[in-house]
Amino acid sequence: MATTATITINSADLTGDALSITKTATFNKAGSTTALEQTTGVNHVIYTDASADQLLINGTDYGTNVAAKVYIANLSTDETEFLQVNIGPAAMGKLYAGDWMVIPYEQHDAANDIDISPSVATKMPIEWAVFYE
Amino acid sequence: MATVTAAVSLSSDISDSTINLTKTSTLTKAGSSKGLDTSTGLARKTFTAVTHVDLVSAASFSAGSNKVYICNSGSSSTEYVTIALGNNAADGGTAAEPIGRLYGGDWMYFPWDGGVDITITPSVATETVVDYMVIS
Repeated sequence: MATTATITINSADLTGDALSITKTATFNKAGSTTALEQTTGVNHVIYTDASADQLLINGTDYGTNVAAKVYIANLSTDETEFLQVNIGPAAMGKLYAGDWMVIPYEQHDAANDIDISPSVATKMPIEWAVFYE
Repeated sequence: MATVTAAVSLSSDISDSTINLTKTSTLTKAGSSKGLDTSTGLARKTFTAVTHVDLVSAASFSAGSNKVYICNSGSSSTEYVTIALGNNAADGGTAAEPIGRLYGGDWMYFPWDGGVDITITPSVATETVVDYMVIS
């Protein structure tokens, strides 16, 4: 059983020399070489509510101080629409249309929820998954 | 105008039905189709103390649709760095909110609006090497 994530960042013209980064991570349990064993699967949700700080992932649902990984993508195709992502009280950033993120998730307590704030109430499609111990 | 793409391929056989997910995004400025055009370059830093410090200071960046890549370039399955958002220990004030731990070989990629610092705390005082880049 294994879960891997490969990131590739490319640009021919961001810097004087072409940029090319590729890195593969294998999702293991905290402090071990044993693979993560559980997942929420890939959730596809359409948001029609632009309220601030809607709970996406509860900070205590998948264990504490472990090596969970979270994937979130904004599947909107409108470049002006975004999804604000917050970790607990800390504003992280905005996923604009087509943007995605992968982060490790400590989940130390309920104050560590992942909250989202869609910029519009007109059907914003979101994809997310948690891989955990 | 620069063109930068970031792609992820996720593969998992945890469940009976294998997950194979690929997503590619073109990095653009907030609310626009214009590409992000500034970068720190791929930086590398070696940490030799279990101290909570800034990895990326918000003061050096403008608010916007910035993207951050961070990788623990080590190979240890027991040693990690904790990445958080907010004030480091020396700054005082409200403590940074932890995002999570990067064990050896782990990477993370996320949007960052530049409002708060990105901090790091190694788990060990023996050399921990971290690669990171901000595209803004």
